[in-house]
Amino acid sequence: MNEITVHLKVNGRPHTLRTAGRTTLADLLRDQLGLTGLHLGCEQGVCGACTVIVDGLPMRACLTLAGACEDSDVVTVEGLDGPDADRLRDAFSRHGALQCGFCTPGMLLSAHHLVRARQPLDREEVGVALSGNICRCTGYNGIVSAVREALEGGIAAESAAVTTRNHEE
Amino acid sequence: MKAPDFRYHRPTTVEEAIALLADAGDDGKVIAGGQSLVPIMNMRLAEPETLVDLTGVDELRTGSKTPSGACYGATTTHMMFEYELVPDVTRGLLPHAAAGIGYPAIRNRGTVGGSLAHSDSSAEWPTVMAALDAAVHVRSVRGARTVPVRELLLGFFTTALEPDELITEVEVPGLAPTARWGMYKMCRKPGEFAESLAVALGEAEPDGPWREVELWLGAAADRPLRLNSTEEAVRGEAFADLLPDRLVAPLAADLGQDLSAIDPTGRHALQLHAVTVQRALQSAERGDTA
Amino acid sequence: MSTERDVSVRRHGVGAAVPRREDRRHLAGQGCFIADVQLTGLCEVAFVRSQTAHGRIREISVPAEDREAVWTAQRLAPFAEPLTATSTLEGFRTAPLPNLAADKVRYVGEPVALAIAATRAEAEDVAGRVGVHLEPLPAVVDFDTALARDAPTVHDDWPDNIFATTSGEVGDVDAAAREAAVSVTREYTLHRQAVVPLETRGVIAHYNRSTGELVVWSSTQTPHMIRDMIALQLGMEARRVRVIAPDMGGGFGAKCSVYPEEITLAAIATQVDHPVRWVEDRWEAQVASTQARDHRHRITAYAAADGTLLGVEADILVNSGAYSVHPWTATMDATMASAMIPGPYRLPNYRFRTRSLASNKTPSGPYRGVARPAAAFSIERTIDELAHELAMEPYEMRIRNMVRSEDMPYVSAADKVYDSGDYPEAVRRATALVEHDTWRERQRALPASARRRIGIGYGSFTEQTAHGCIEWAARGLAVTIGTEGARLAMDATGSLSLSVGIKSHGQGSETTLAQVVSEVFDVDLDHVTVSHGDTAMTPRGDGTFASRTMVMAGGATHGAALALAEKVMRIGAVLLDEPVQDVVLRDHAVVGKKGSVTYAQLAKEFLFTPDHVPGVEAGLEVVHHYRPEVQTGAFTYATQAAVVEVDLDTGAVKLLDYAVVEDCGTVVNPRIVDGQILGGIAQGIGNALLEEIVHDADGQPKSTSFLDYLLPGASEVPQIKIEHMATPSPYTVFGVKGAGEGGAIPPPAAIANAIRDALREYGTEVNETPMTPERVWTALRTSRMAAEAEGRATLEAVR
Repeated sequence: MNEITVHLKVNGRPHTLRTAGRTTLADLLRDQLGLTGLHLGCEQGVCGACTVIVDGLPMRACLTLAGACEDSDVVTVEGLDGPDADRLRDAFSRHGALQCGFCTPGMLLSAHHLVRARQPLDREEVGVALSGNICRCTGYNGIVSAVREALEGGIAAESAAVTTRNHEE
Repeated sequence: MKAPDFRYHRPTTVEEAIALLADAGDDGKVIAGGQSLVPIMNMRLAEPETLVDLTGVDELRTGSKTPSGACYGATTTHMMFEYELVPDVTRGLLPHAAAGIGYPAIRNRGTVGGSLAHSDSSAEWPTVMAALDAAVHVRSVRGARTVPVRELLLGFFTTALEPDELITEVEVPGLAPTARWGMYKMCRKPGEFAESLAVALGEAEPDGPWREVELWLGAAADRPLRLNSTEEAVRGEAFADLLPDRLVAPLAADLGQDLSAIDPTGRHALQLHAVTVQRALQSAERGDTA
Repeated sequence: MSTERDVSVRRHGVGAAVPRREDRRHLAGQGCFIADVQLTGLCEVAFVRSQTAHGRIREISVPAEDREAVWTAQRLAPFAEPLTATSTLEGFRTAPLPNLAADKVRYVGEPVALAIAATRAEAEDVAGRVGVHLEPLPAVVDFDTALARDAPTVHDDWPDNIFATTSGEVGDVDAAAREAAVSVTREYTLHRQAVVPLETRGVIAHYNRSTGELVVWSSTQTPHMIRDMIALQLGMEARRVRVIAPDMGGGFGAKCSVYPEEITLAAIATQVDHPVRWVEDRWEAQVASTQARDHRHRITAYAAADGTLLGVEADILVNSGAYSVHPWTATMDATMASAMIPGPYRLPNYRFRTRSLASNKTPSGPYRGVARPAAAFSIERTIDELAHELAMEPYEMRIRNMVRSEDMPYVSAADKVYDSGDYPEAVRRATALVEHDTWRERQRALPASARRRIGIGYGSFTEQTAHGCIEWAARGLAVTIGTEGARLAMDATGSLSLSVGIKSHGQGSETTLAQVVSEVFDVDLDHVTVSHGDTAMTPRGDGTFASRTMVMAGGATHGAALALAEKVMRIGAVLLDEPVQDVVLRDHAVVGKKGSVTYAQLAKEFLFTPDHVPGVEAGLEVVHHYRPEVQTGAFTYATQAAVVEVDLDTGAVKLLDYAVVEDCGTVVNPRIVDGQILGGIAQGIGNALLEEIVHDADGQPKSTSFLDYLLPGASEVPQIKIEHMATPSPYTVFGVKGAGEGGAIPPPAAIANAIRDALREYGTEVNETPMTPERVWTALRTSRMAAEAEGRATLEAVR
């Protein structure tokens, strides 16, 4: 067995881990750090259930070797927080954006990236942006609505903050 | 569905990488984004003994203009092209092509050099780079050479690279200000591999027929194809007349297919190629893209 | 049983759109699925599976150093019997489903051996070193090769490849044919699909030597059934077997049969000193989980000049794969199809024959809708063709022939008792909801030169849900499912614990069943725990499938809640010193005319000091088993309307609009019901346009990864409009009807009819699913070429 050592930060905490060279980021997070929020749905990069944020960008943990994450900063659903995450979680629940919950962590992380970009998107654009996250339960209507609502909420909160600042100045 | 065991190296310089690759011999393999390699390793369809990971080699993730175009480090990601984090010298073709590759999470890791070295003709970069007549810079401990993409891609998962060679850069010639380009990717769902992929490049009269046109087609054969017969049929023709039906026969000639002996599946595939070429031409006409 | 009730009484009761209680843990990434379970010493399993569809096993070679880690049929045989799914249908041929293949392999993916190691990757390394030496045999793949006179047989001792044949006739179809003004004959094929819950299957087995208990975790919809069958196949008393189904990433029917992997891991656990786990990978899921559809129906239908449907004749073939699975059997699809082809129509004359075929494909099992998507496809496409023959709007043909509210209860040609509702009204409302006339205008406005066409199509169905034992018995099942248990306890703090035998796996039953409790007790849902999926903690139940959970487990829960409430009120009356008829349950308390006592006070008083409550027998716990009074089920029905755009150049189909008018009776939670319908439609869209397990002539499946088995994504499902009719069933508690499957039933029919409508100028029909661009374009090209040939012939004749 060919082993390697990986240094990386996960949800803000630094780790040094010994693992097999063939270990993917997904297996490292799940098996060695107990972060089982990300799920393996296909191990081929299609379903998106393993999506995590690596150095600020959503990536497939199943197609990313652990060794390639040396010095990386990884965020999983367990570490996803802040106003955008709160808005998303709330909207997901109200819009019926989850049922079995298996795709949900990956869906949230992909959606969070979209929401953070503050780029207004119509339904079709949200659909294309989420084409790499398969949900077998909900039929997506709720997911698309939830993401758009959280996105609009984020934009509104930001313009409200700007307005407040302007008033203060 | 887990990859077989392998030795894993993550060098930080090209020198180190080519030395590791030389040591690995025939069973060594380069990995960059891994978005194509890891799935086939997970399915144990590829079982390299040694992997040399380029993601730690910072010098390979750059892009800069050159007198004739631009040069991109091999591990420049699709996302970097999509959002123009590297200079574009193709008046939008490279960012457009990049934005159609896989899903966002795939584009964030997948690389241009990796895609070319993987040589899957249904992927974007092989056809687009062949159409642009790009070339790859290749290094090994034995030296350096430059290989035009049109000569690099030999077949499915087969390239002109030797086992100890590494793509370090992709050099793309700039498009002339008067050149038109059009690209169309036919796929069943966003992010899927292309069922057909066409790039049209050339010069046309304003609102008029093509003076010069070069057509490239992906996902039709084991490597991108130049469509000589179809170009003949298109040259001098007005855009409006270029319906798919008129492109089927010349396309069949380009693909070496006998229209009278084709089965329904093959006939539909041919139809999709004709429509894809037509839509690439149309998008060039409109100056937008599809 | 009264269905009259005031839905506004309870804040969190039946009808309340409360948020799902399951959401919080999943949104935090704190769900616990089978792959997430952590146990000391847990080893991982990788299976060696047949790569050949049909072959005789000559030798299985295992390197000496791997012998301890590898299990073959020979090594397993002393510890587990193979399972034979029998049927009571006349002439049904049985064949044992091996736990590990011993003499022959009969489909690609069939388990042959397994390897155990510390990690899955290492287990795959060991599995890769096992050699399976086969003598390949000719494969039985499709309908024609299965039925061929000289066909090879899947099972050596069978004379042919037919599991069973059934037939029947009601009325006189021949007489109807003589009377008819028009008739149409069509052949419809729904190709094979995978079920694809996003979480694959998985099993953990651990034998606890100190207690003698075998604990099996499985991602299963039917934990009690798995427990029974593990006990029987291992020759153990069931008291020593506990099955736990943790959080599940969907099931949709793929997780409700008894699988060889469950039996095998359970047996091995009793022989090794550590727990073992197998998590199905995606390739395995695409070849080794039960599959669905693979129907071919030949339908002839007769109608009078005024559009009255006179008769239908159906010849039904189902390719059921290599084995019959327990408990559903290999005839489940065929018998369901024959029962549901009459659909929501007043059909006086009906004749059918079904043949269920064995082949070298993965065994078929239940998938959302079970055969009804195929039945609906056949009858709904046929209704449209009759309408075209008579130059009627297809929706008018439906309205004319459907069972009306005044006909209820209506006994169908297939002897099903449709219980309630107004079927034609669903069609009328669907035309309004989809804005039929507006789309017709847009359709007309498209210039002939356009390279696309628009079409509107309808699909209607009625669906038996939550049926009792007699219905399963009628289909030949040896296990006649039909009851469900619930236990409700109030503890000393006054909170409530409900445990049920079903297994919620995405349906939100932790929410809806708590709503039923709240309907009786008027409590916040946070005060009710709903336990499910653990045979040691829950009363016996059959599981979650057949759109039965809300009716059956809801009925059991309601029964338990009423009995416990009766007692709580008696205790309250004693404590309040008021007559029991003067007290009610309201807002966490027993409320009398003079005073009130909270559940917390009441329970503490009764459980800590029972002597303070004279005259009330001990215990605050009730078990209730529900069995429907009327066993023929509650029929959910709907009409779905699809608007498509067909690309004439490519054959690609895009959904422009989609509307549903449905009636699943009383809605317990509108959010959850809408979610079931939307999710079902998305799967129906997959069935209609995308999903197919393609086999080559050797029986090798070609679409075994998500790279070539396409699933609907967010771009493929349009915004869907839903309207509810909510006619209570007279036969169930609260008038609830099942809602789990209906969404998935008519999309292939509605979309096929819309494509037909879009291409009506060419006369193009697409009568097989999925309706891929290739199939649509090829059908269009064929019909255009035929029309041109006809045109030329006419021209010649004129000359």
